[in-house]
Amino acid sequence: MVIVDRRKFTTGLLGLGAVSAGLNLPAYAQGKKPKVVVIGGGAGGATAARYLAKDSKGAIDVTLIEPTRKYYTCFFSNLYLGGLRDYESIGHTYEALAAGHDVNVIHDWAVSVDGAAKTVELGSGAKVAYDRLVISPGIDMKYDSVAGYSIEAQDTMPHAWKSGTQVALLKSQVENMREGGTFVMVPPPNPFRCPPGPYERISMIAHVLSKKNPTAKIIVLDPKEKFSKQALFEEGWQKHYPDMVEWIPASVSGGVKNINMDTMEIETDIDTFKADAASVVPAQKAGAICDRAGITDGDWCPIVPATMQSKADENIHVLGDASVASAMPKSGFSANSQAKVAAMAIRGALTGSKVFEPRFANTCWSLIDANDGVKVGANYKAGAEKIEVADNFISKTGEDAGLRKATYEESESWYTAISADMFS
Amino acid sequence: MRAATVAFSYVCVTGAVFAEGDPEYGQYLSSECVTCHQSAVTGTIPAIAGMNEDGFISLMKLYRSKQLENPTMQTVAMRLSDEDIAALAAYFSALKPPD
Repeated sequence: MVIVDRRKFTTGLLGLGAVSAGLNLPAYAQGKKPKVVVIGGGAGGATAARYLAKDSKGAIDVTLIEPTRKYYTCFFSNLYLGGLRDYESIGHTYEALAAGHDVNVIHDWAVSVDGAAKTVELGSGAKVAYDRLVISPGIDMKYDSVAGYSIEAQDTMPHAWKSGTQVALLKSQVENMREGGTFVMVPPPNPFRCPPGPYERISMIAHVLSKKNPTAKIIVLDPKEKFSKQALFEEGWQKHYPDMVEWIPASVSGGVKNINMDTMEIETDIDTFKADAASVVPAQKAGAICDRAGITDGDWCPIVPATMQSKADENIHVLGDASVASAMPKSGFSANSQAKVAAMAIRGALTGSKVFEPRFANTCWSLIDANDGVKVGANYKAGAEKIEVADNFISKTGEDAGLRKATYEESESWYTAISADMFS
Repeated sequence: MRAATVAFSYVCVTGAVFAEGDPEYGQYLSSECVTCHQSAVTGTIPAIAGMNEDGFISLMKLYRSKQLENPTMQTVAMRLSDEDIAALAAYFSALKPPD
Protein backbone atom coordinates (compact mmCIF):
# COMPACT_ATOMS: atom_id res chain seq x y z
CA MET A 1 0.00 0.00 0.00
CA VAL A 2 1.33 3.40 -0.93
CA ILE A 3 0.44 6.29 1.29
CA VAL A 4 0.58 9.56 -0.58
CA ASP A 5 1.07 12.66 1.49
CA ARG A 6 -1.57 15.10 0.33
CA ARG A 7 0.83 17.99 0.06
CA LYS A 8 3.29 16.02 -2.05
CA PHE A 9 0.36 14.82 -4.09
CA THR A 10 -0.77 18.37 -4.78
CA THR A 11 2.76 19.52 -5.54
CA GLY A 12 3.21 16.56 -7.84
CA LEU A 13 0.07 17.30 -9.74
CA LEU A 14 0.99 20.88 -10.33
CA GLY A 15 4.54 19.85 -11.20
CA LEU A 16 3.36 17.59 -13.99
CA GLY A 17 1.95 20.48 -15.92
CA ALA A 18 -0.40 18.00 -17.57
CA VAL A 19 -3.53 18.93 -15.72
CA SER A 20 -6.33 20.67 -17.53
CA ALA A 21 -5.94 24.41 -17.81
CA GLY A 22 -9.19 24.91 -15.94
CA LEU A 23 -7.85 23.41 -12.75
CA ASN A 24 -5.61 26.36 -11.98
CA LEU A 25 -8.14 29.03 -12.81
CA PRO A 26 -10.13 30.70 -10.08
CA ALA A 27 -13.68 29.38 -9.73
CA TYR A 28 -15.21 32.58 -11.13
CA ALA A 29 -13.18 32.23 -14.32
CA GLN A 30 -14.61 28.75 -14.77
CA GLY A 31 -18.14 30.07 -14.47
CA LYS A 32 -18.86 28.30 -11.19
CA LYS A 33 -20.13 29.90 -8.03
CA PRO A 34 -17.19 29.63 -5.66
CA LYS A 35 -17.66 28.04 -2.26
CA VAL A 36 -16.15 29.21 1.01
CA VAL A 37 -16.53 27.14 4.15
CA VAL A 38 -15.88 28.78 7.52
CA ILE A 39 -15.14 26.60 10.56
CA GLY A 40 -15.96 28.35 13.83
CA GLY A 41 -18.59 31.01 14.53
CA GLY A 42 -16.70 33.31 16.88
CA ALA A 43 -15.19 36.73 16.31
CA GLY A 44 -13.07 35.50 13.39
CA GLY A 45 -15.44 33.06 11.74
CA ALA A 46 -18.72 34.91 12.12
CA THR A 47 -17.13 38.13 10.84
CA ALA A 48 -15.51 36.33 7.89
CA ALA A 49 -18.79 34.65 6.93
CA ARG A 50 -20.71 37.90 7.21
CA TYR A 51 -18.23 39.97 5.18
CA LEU A 52 -17.79 37.29 2.51
CA ALA A 53 -21.54 37.00 2.04
CA LYS A 54 -22.32 40.72 2.37
CA ASP A 55 -19.53 42.09 0.17
CA SER A 56 -19.73 39.42 -2.55
CA LYS A 57 -23.46 40.13 -2.88
CA GLY A 58 -24.30 36.50 -3.44
CA ALA A 59 -21.37 35.75 -5.77
CA ILE A 60 -19.85 33.41 -3.16
CA ASP A 61 -21.62 30.49 -1.55
CA VAL A 62 -20.75 30.82 2.16
CA THR A 63 -21.18 28.01 4.69
CA LEU A 64 -20.51 28.50 8.40
CA ILE A 65 -19.92 25.42 10.56
CA GLU A 66 -20.44 26.01 14.26
CA PRO A 67 -21.59 23.41 16.79
CA THR A 68 -23.41 25.75 19.18
CA ARG A 69 -26.68 27.47 18.37
CA LYS A 70 -25.97 30.28 20.78
CA TYR A 71 -22.51 31.74 21.06
CA TYR A 72 -21.44 33.31 24.35
CA THR A 73 -18.59 35.73 23.81
CA CYS A 74 -15.44 35.31 25.82
CA PHE A 75 -14.96 39.05 25.77
CA PHE A 76 -17.18 40.66 28.44
CA SER A 77 -17.64 37.31 30.23
CA ASN A 78 -15.58 38.87 33.05
CA LEU A 79 -18.21 41.60 33.37
CA TYR A 80 -20.83 38.91 33.84
CA LEU A 81 -18.56 37.38 36.50
CA GLY A 82 -18.39 40.78 38.19
CA GLY A 83 -22.18 41.13 38.19
CA LEU A 84 -22.08 44.02 35.73
CA ARG A 85 -23.83 42.22 32.86
CA ASP A 86 -26.33 39.40 32.73
CA TYR A 87 -25.51 36.08 31.09
CA GLU A 88 -27.90 36.44 28.18
CA SER A 89 -26.42 39.81 27.21
CA ILE A 90 -23.25 38.03 26.02
CA GLY A 91 -25.11 35.35 24.03
CA HIS A 92 -25.70 35.63 20.27
CA THR A 93 -27.43 33.48 17.65
CA TYR A 94 -26.68 32.97 13.96
CA GLU A 95 -30.20 33.66 12.73
CA ALA A 96 -29.38 37.04 11.17
CA LEU A 97 -26.36 35.64 9.31
CA ALA A 98 -28.57 32.95 7.82
CA ALA A 99 -31.64 35.07 7.13
CA GLY A 100 -30.05 38.42 6.30
CA HIS A 101 -26.92 37.33 4.42
CA ASP A 102 -27.80 33.91 3.06
CA VAL A 103 -25.01 32.25 4.99
CA ASN A 104 -25.61 28.51 5.11
CA VAL A 105 -25.23 27.89 8.86
CA ILE A 106 -24.61 24.26 9.82
CA HIS A 107 -24.71 23.47 13.53
CA ASP A 108 -22.29 20.57 13.67
CA TRP A 109 -18.66 19.80 14.46
CA ALA A 110 -16.03 19.92 11.75
CA VAL A 111 -14.17 16.68 12.44
CA SER A 112 -11.58 16.63 9.67
CA VAL A 113 -10.27 18.50 6.66
CA ASP A 114 -9.04 16.89 3.45
CA GLY A 115 -6.82 19.57 1.95
CA ALA A 116 -6.22 17.64 -1.27
CA ALA A 117 -9.89 16.95 -1.97
CA LYS A 118 -10.83 20.35 -0.47
CA THR A 119 -13.58 18.96 1.71
CA VAL A 120 -14.55 19.27 5.37
CA GLU A 121 -16.06 16.24 7.08
CA LEU A 122 -18.79 16.96 9.64
CA GLY A 123 -19.82 15.08 12.77
CA SER A 124 -22.85 13.83 10.83
CA GLY A 125 -20.50 12.18 8.34
CA ALA A 126 -21.46 14.61 5.56
CA LYS A 127 -18.72 16.26 3.53
CA VAL A 128 -18.77 19.91 2.51
CA ALA A 129 -16.65 21.00 -0.45
CA TYR A 130 -14.80 24.30 -0.59
CA ASP A 131 -12.69 26.42 -2.88
CA ARG A 132 -11.34 28.30 0.13
CA LEU A 133 -11.58 27.26 3.76
CA VAL A 134 -11.48 29.63 6.73
CA ILE A 135 -10.50 28.01 10.03
CA SER A 136 -11.22 30.06 13.14
CA PRO A 137 -11.70 27.54 15.95
CA GLY A 138 -10.20 29.51 18.84
CA ILE A 139 -8.22 27.68 21.48
CA ASP A 140 -8.03 24.28 23.07
CA MET A 141 -6.62 23.69 26.54
CA LYS A 142 -3.40 21.83 27.33
CA TYR A 143 -4.89 20.43 30.52
CA ASP A 144 -1.73 18.55 31.51
CA SER A 145 0.36 21.75 31.46
CA VAL A 146 -0.56 22.17 35.15
CA ALA A 147 0.28 19.11 37.31
CA GLY A 148 -2.91 17.76 38.86
CA TYR A 149 -5.23 19.61 36.48
CA SER A 150 -7.35 17.74 33.93
CA ILE A 151 -10.47 18.01 31.86
CA GLU A 152 -12.42 16.51 34.78
CA ALA A 153 -10.90 19.09 37.15
CA GLN A 154 -12.43 21.95 35.16
CA ASP A 155 -15.65 21.55 37.16
CA THR A 156 -13.78 21.96 40.45
CA MET A 157 -11.44 24.77 39.40
CA PRO A 158 -12.99 26.18 36.21
CA HIS A 159 -10.69 27.62 33.57
CA ALA A 160 -13.75 29.47 32.28
CA TRP A 161 -11.65 30.53 29.29
CA LYS A 162 -14.22 29.69 26.63
CA SER A 163 -17.09 31.62 28.16
CA GLY A 164 -20.49 29.91 28.56
CA THR A 165 -21.34 27.54 31.39
CA GLN A 166 -17.79 27.45 32.79
CA VAL A 167 -18.06 31.15 33.62
CA ALA A 168 -21.48 30.64 35.21
CA LEU A 169 -19.96 27.86 37.34
CA LEU A 170 -17.02 30.01 38.42
CA LYS A 171 -19.36 32.89 39.30
CA SER A 172 -21.39 30.63 41.54
CA GLN A 173 -18.26 29.26 43.24
CA VAL A 174 -16.96 32.78 43.94
CA GLU A 175 -20.28 33.93 45.33
CA ASN A 176 -20.53 30.89 47.60
CA MET A 177 -17.06 31.13 49.12
CA ARG A 178 -16.91 31.00 52.91
CA GLU A 179 -16.48 34.32 54.71
CA GLY A 180 -12.85 35.36 54.72
CA GLY A 181 -11.97 32.55 52.31
CA THR A 182 -9.22 32.42 49.70
CA PHE A 183 -9.67 32.55 45.94
CA VAL A 184 -6.67 31.34 43.94
CA MET A 185 -6.15 32.33 40.32
CA VAL A 186 -3.60 30.50 38.17
CA PRO A 187 -3.16 32.45 34.91
CA PRO A 188 -1.80 30.72 31.79
CA PRO A 189 1.72 31.03 30.35
CA ASN A 190 2.22 33.01 27.11
CA PRO A 191 0.88 32.96 24.47
CA PHE A 192 -2.78 32.76 25.38
CA ARG A 193 -6.22 34.12 24.55
CA CYS A 194 -6.88 37.63 25.88
CA PRO A 195 -3.63 38.78 27.55
CA PRO A 196 -5.30 41.18 30.04
CA GLY A 197 -8.14 38.68 30.70
CA PRO A 198 -6.80 36.93 33.83
CA TYR A 199 -6.15 40.29 35.48
CA GLU A 200 -9.54 41.68 34.55
CA ARG A 201 -11.00 38.46 36.00
CA ILE A 202 -9.11 39.08 39.25
CA SER A 203 -10.46 42.64 39.26
CA MET A 204 -14.05 41.52 38.72
CA ILE A 205 -13.82 38.81 41.38
CA ALA A 206 -12.33 41.39 43.76
CA HIS A 207 -15.24 43.69 42.86
CA VAL A 208 -17.71 40.97 43.92
CA LEU A 209 -15.81 39.94 47.05
CA SER A 210 -15.23 43.51 48.24
CA LYS A 211 -19.01 43.85 48.51
CA LYS A 212 -20.11 40.35 49.59
CA ASN A 213 -17.08 38.97 51.38
CA PRO A 214 -14.69 41.83 52.16
CA THR A 215 -12.28 39.84 54.35
CA ALA A 216 -11.68 37.30 51.53
CA LYS A 217 -8.27 37.15 49.84
CA ILE A 218 -7.20 36.61 46.24
CA ILE A 219 -3.89 34.86 45.58
CA VAL A 220 -2.55 34.95 42.02
CA LEU A 221 0.02 32.25 41.23
CA ASP A 222 1.34 33.49 37.92
CA PRO A 223 3.70 31.40 35.76
CA LYS A 224 4.89 34.71 34.27
CA GLU A 225 7.06 37.56 35.54
CA LYS A 226 4.96 40.35 34.09
CA PHE A 227 1.58 40.80 32.45
CA SER A 228 -0.51 43.00 30.20
CA LYS A 229 -1.46 46.45 31.59
CA GLN A 230 0.38 45.50 34.79
CA ALA A 231 0.92 49.02 36.14
CA LEU A 232 -2.74 49.88 35.52
CA PHE A 233 -4.09 46.76 37.21
CA GLU A 234 -1.73 46.98 40.19
CA GLU A 235 -2.61 50.63 40.73
CA GLY A 236 -6.32 49.78 40.49
CA TRP A 237 -6.12 46.81 42.87
CA GLN A 238 -4.37 48.97 45.46
CA LYS A 239 -6.94 51.72 45.02
CA HIS A 240 -10.16 49.70 44.94
CA TYR A 241 -9.29 46.50 46.79
CA PRO A 242 -6.45 47.35 49.21
CA ASP A 243 -4.79 44.25 50.73
CA MET A 244 -7.16 41.87 48.95
CA VAL A 245 -5.07 40.85 45.91
CA GLU A 246 -1.61 39.28 46.18
CA TRP A 247 0.11 38.64 42.84
CA ILE A 248 3.02 36.19 43.08
CA PRO A 249 5.22 35.69 39.99
CA ALA A 250 6.92 32.36 39.24
CA SER A 251 10.31 33.75 40.29
CA VAL A 252 8.93 34.02 43.84
CA SER A 253 6.64 30.96 44.06
CA GLY A 254 8.69 28.65 41.86
CA GLY A 255 5.48 28.05 39.91
CA VAL A 256 2.61 25.65 40.59
CA LYS A 257 4.10 22.19 41.35
CA ASN A 258 0.88 20.28 41.84
CA ILE A 259 -2.82 20.73 42.49
CA ASN A 260 -4.75 18.33 44.71
CA MET A 261 -8.33 18.55 43.53
CA ASP A 262 -9.71 16.65 46.52
CA THR A 263 -8.24 18.98 49.13
CA MET A 264 -8.20 22.12 46.90
CA GLU A 265 -4.50 22.55 47.74
CA ILE A 266 -2.14 24.21 45.30
CA GLU A 267 1.53 23.47 45.94
CA THR A 268 4.37 25.85 45.18
CA ASP A 269 7.98 26.09 46.41
CA ILE A 270 7.12 28.74 48.98
CA ASP A 271 3.83 27.44 50.36
CA THR A 272 0.82 25.24 49.78
CA PHE A 273 -2.24 27.39 49.22
CA LYS A 274 -5.61 26.04 50.28
CA ALA A 275 -8.30 27.47 48.03
CA ASP A 276 -11.97 27.92 48.84
CA ALA A 277 -12.51 28.58 45.16
CA ALA A 278 -10.07 28.73 42.26
CA SER A 279 -9.71 29.32 38.56
CA VAL A 280 -6.91 27.48 36.78
CA VAL A 281 -6.26 28.50 33.20
CA PRO A 282 -3.85 26.04 31.59
CA ALA A 283 -1.53 26.60 28.62
CA GLN A 284 -3.33 26.78 25.28
CA LYS A 285 -3.04 25.69 21.67
CA ALA A 286 -4.95 26.14 18.43
CA GLY A 287 -8.32 24.39 18.26
CA ALA A 288 -7.95 20.66 17.51
CA ILE A 289 -9.26 20.89 13.94
CA CYS A 290 -6.03 22.72 13.04
CA ASP A 291 -3.94 19.63 13.77
CA ARG A 292 -6.35 17.52 11.77
CA ALA A 293 -6.10 19.95 8.87
CA GLY A 294 -2.29 19.67 9.01
CA ILE A 295 -1.77 23.41 9.43
CA THR A 296 -0.12 23.60 12.86
CA ASP A 297 3.55 24.02 13.59
CA GLY A 298 3.82 23.19 17.27
CA ASP A 299 0.77 24.56 19.06
CA TRP A 300 -0.32 27.25 16.58
CA CYS A 301 -0.86 27.92 12.88
CA PRO A 302 1.70 30.01 10.98
CA ILE A 303 0.10 32.36 8.48
CA VAL A 304 1.01 34.63 5.58
CA PRO A 305 0.39 38.08 7.10
CA ALA A 306 -1.14 39.80 4.06
CA THR A 307 -3.93 37.26 3.57
CA MET A 308 -4.03 35.14 6.76
CA GLN A 309 -3.42 32.09 4.53
CA SER A 310 -1.96 29.08 6.25
CA LYS A 311 1.72 28.63 5.42
CA ALA A 312 0.97 24.92 5.01
CA ASP A 313 -2.02 25.15 2.65
CA GLU A 314 -2.79 28.18 0.50
CA ASN A 315 -6.48 27.25 0.24
CA ILE A 316 -6.90 27.62 4.00
CA HIS A 317 -7.03 30.91 5.90
CA VAL A 318 -6.55 30.82 9.68
CA LEU A 319 -8.02 33.55 11.86
CA GLY A 320 -7.89 34.67 15.44
CA ASP A 321 -6.47 32.85 18.43
CA ALA A 322 -5.37 29.78 16.44
CA SER A 323 -3.07 31.78 14.16
CA VAL A 324 0.44 33.04 14.74
CA ALA A 325 -0.42 36.70 14.32
CA SER A 326 2.90 37.86 15.83
CA ALA A 327 2.42 41.32 17.32
CA MET A 328 -1.38 41.07 17.38
CA PRO A 329 -2.78 39.73 20.64
CA LYS A 330 -5.21 36.82 20.69
CA SER A 331 -8.39 38.86 21.08
CA GLY A 332 -11.87 39.05 19.61
CA PHE A 333 -11.07 42.46 18.15
CA SER A 334 -7.95 41.04 16.44
CA ALA A 335 -9.90 38.09 15.02
CA ASN A 336 -12.59 40.44 13.70
CA SER A 337 -9.93 42.61 12.05
CA GLN A 338 -8.10 39.63 10.54
CA ALA A 339 -11.41 38.28 9.22
CA LYS A 340 -11.95 41.43 7.15
CA VAL A 341 -8.47 41.21 5.63
CA ALA A 342 -8.96 37.52 4.83
CA ALA A 343 -12.45 38.07 3.41
CA MET A 344 -11.08 40.73 1.06
CA ALA A 345 -8.25 38.42 -0.06
CA ILE A 346 -10.63 35.51 -0.60
CA ARG A 347 -13.08 37.61 -2.62
CA GLY A 348 -10.16 38.84 -4.69
CA ALA A 349 -9.01 35.30 -5.40
CA LEU A 350 -12.45 33.83 -6.08
CA THR A 351 -14.36 36.68 -7.74
CA GLY A 352 -11.63 38.99 -9.00
CA SER A 353 -12.67 41.89 -6.74
CA LYS A 354 -10.08 44.51 -5.81
CA VAL A 355 -7.57 43.68 -3.11
CA PHE A 356 -6.14 46.58 -1.13
CA GLU A 357 -3.23 46.89 1.26
CA PRO A 358 -4.15 44.87 4.36
CA ARG A 359 -4.64 46.81 7.59
CA PHE A 360 -5.17 45.32 11.00
CA ALA A 361 -6.25 46.89 14.28
CA ASN A 362 -6.93 45.92 17.86
CA THR A 363 -8.14 47.57 21.04
CA CYS A 364 -8.47 45.67 24.32
CA TRP A 365 -10.57 47.33 27.01
CA SER A 366 -10.36 46.03 30.58
CA LEU A 367 -12.46 46.86 33.60
CA ILE A 368 -10.69 47.23 36.96
CA ASP A 369 -13.75 48.26 38.96
CA ALA A 370 -17.21 49.54 38.02
CA ASN A 371 -16.64 52.63 35.84
CA ASP A 372 -12.84 52.24 35.95
CA GLY A 373 -11.99 51.19 32.41
CA VAL A 374 -8.59 51.13 30.73
CA LYS A 375 -7.51 50.23 27.20
CA VAL A 376 -4.55 49.30 25.04
CA GLY A 377 -4.57 49.31 21.27
CA ALA A 378 -2.58 49.38 18.07
CA ASN A 379 -2.60 49.47 14.30
CA TYR A 380 -0.75 46.72 12.49
CA LYS A 381 0.63 46.15 9.03
CA ALA A 382 1.45 42.98 7.16
CA GLY A 383 5.20 42.50 7.00
CA ALA A 384 6.64 39.81 4.73
CA GLU A 385 6.93 37.33 7.58
CA LYS A 386 5.06 38.84 10.50
CA ILE A 387 2.21 41.15 11.37
CA GLU A 388 3.95 44.24 12.74
CA VAL A 389 2.88 47.13 14.98
CA ALA A 390 2.51 50.45 13.18
CA ASP A 391 1.21 52.73 15.99
CA ASN A 392 0.05 51.94 19.51
CA PHE A 393 -1.27 53.46 22.75
CA ILE A 394 -2.12 52.49 26.33
CA SER A 395 -4.13 54.16 29.10
CA LYS A 396 -1.99 55.94 31.70
CA THR A 397 -1.80 55.40 35.43
CA GLY A 398 -3.32 58.23 37.45
CA GLU A 399 -6.03 59.10 34.93
CA ASP A 400 -9.02 60.88 36.43
CA ALA A 401 -12.28 59.10 37.21
CA GLY A 402 -14.16 60.88 34.42
CA LEU A 403 -11.82 59.57 31.73
CA ARG A 404 -11.92 56.05 33.20
CA LYS A 405 -15.73 56.12 33.20
CA ALA A 406 -15.74 57.32 29.58
CA THR A 407 -13.36 54.48 28.66
CA TYR A 408 -15.68 51.96 30.31
CA GLU A 409 -18.73 53.39 28.53
CA GLU A 410 -16.79 53.28 25.27
CA SER A 411 -16.11 49.57 25.85
CA GLU A 412 -19.80 48.88 26.41
CA SER A 413 -20.59 50.70 23.18
CA TRP A 414 -17.88 48.76 21.35
CA TYR A 415 -19.39 45.49 22.58
CA THR A 416 -22.74 46.37 21.04
CA ALA A 417 -21.07 47.42 17.80
CA ILE A 418 -18.73 44.46 17.33
CA SER A 419 -21.54 42.05 18.18
CA ALA A 420 -23.54 43.60 15.34
CA ASP A 421 -20.44 43.47 13.10
CA MET A 422 -20.27 39.71 13.73
CA PHE A 423 -23.85 38.57 13.98
CA SER A 424 -26.29 41.11 12.47
CA MET B 1 6.28 22.72 6.56
CA ARG B 2 5.99 23.77 2.95
CA ALA B 3 5.57 27.47 2.47
CA ALA B 4 2.47 28.34 0.50
CA THR B 5 3.00 30.08 -2.78
CA VAL B 6 1.25 33.36 -2.35
CA ALA B 7 0.30 35.04 -5.54
CA PHE B 8 -1.38 38.12 -4.15
CA SER B 9 -0.61 41.59 -5.27
CA TYR B 10 -2.46 44.63 -4.06
CA VAL B 11 -4.10 47.27 -6.11
CA CYS B 12 -1.58 50.07 -5.90
CA VAL B 13 -2.81 52.34 -3.15
CA THR B 14 -1.70 55.81 -3.99
CA GLY B 15 -3.22 59.24 -3.71
CA ALA B 16 -3.39 59.51 -7.47
CA VAL B 17 -5.62 56.46 -7.75
CA PHE B 18 -7.95 57.19 -4.87
CA ALA B 19 -7.97 60.98 -4.60
CA GLU B 20 -11.69 61.23 -5.23
CA GLY B 21 -12.58 58.51 -2.82
CA ASP B 22 -12.82 55.15 -4.61
CA PRO B 23 -16.03 53.68 -3.14
CA GLU B 24 -14.61 50.14 -2.98
CA TYR B 25 -11.54 51.44 -1.21
CA GLY B 26 -13.69 53.52 1.13
CA GLN B 27 -15.80 50.48 1.85
CA TYR B 28 -12.74 48.39 2.67
CA LEU B 29 -11.28 51.09 4.94
CA SER B 30 -14.67 51.50 6.60
CA SER B 31 -14.59 47.92 7.81
CA GLU B 32 -12.17 49.06 10.52
CA CYS B 33 -14.53 51.86 11.62
CA VAL B 34 -17.65 49.70 11.90
CA THR B 35 -16.11 47.49 14.56
CA CYS B 36 -17.10 50.37 16.85
CA HIS B 37 -19.32 52.67 14.75
CA GLN B 38 -22.41 50.79 13.62
CA SER B 39 -25.18 52.40 11.58
CA ALA B 40 -27.13 53.13 14.77
CA VAL B 41 -25.67 54.96 17.75
CA THR B 42 -24.31 52.46 20.27
CA GLY B 43 -24.01 54.04 23.72
CA THR B 44 -21.37 56.75 23.73
CA ILE B 45 -19.89 55.91 20.33
CA PRO B 46 -21.52 58.08 17.66
CA ALA B 47 -22.96 56.78 14.40
CA ILE B 48 -20.98 58.07 11.43
CA ALA B 49 -23.24 56.86 8.64
CA GLY B 50 -24.69 59.83 6.76
CA MET B 51 -22.20 62.21 8.33
CA ASN B 52 -21.39 65.44 6.52
CA GLU B 53 -18.37 64.84 4.28
CA ASP B 54 -16.44 67.99 5.22
CA GLY B 55 -17.22 67.52 8.90
CA PHE B 56 -15.90 63.97 8.73
CA ILE B 57 -12.67 65.12 7.08
CA SER B 58 -12.13 67.91 9.63
CA LEU B 59 -12.68 65.61 12.61
CA MET B 60 -10.38 62.91 11.31
CA LYS B 61 -7.62 65.43 10.69
CA LEU B 62 -8.05 66.78 14.24
CA TYR B 63 -7.62 63.27 15.60
CA ARG B 64 -4.64 62.68 13.35
CA SER B 65 -2.92 65.83 14.65
CA LYS B 66 -3.90 64.82 18.20
CA GLN B 67 -5.93 67.98 18.75
CA LEU B 68 -8.81 65.70 19.68
CA GLU B 69 -8.02 63.40 22.53
CA ASN B 70 -9.33 59.85 22.23
CA PRO B 71 -6.21 57.64 21.80
CA THR B 72 -8.16 54.96 19.91
CA MET B 73 -9.26 57.51 17.34
CA GLN B 74 -5.80 59.10 17.22
CA THR B 75 -4.30 55.69 16.45
CA VAL B 76 -6.93 54.97 13.80
CA ALA B 77 -6.32 58.36 12.18
CA MET B 78 -2.54 58.20 12.40
CA ARG B 79 -2.10 55.92 9.43
CA LEU B 80 -4.78 57.50 7.25
CA SER B 81 -3.53 59.64 4.38
CA ASP B 82 -5.60 62.61 3.15
CA GLU B 83 -6.80 60.34 0.35
CA ASP B 84 -7.82 57.62 2.81
CA ILE B 85 -9.81 60.16 4.81
CA ALA B 86 -11.44 61.45 1.61
CA ALA B 87 -12.41 57.90 0.60
CA LEU B 88 -13.92 57.25 4.03
CA ALA B 89 -15.76 60.57 4.06
CA ALA B 90 -17.21 59.84 0.61
CA TYR B 91 -18.27 56.38 1.71
CA PHE B 92 -19.89 57.29 5.04
CA SER B 93 -21.55 60.49 3.80
CA ALA B 94 -23.31 58.47 1.11
CA LEU B 95 -24.87 56.11 3.66
CA LYS B 96 -28.30 56.60 5.15
CA PRO B 97 -28.07 58.27 8.57
CA PRO B 98 -29.60 56.45 11.53
CA ASP B 99 -33.33 57.01 12.11
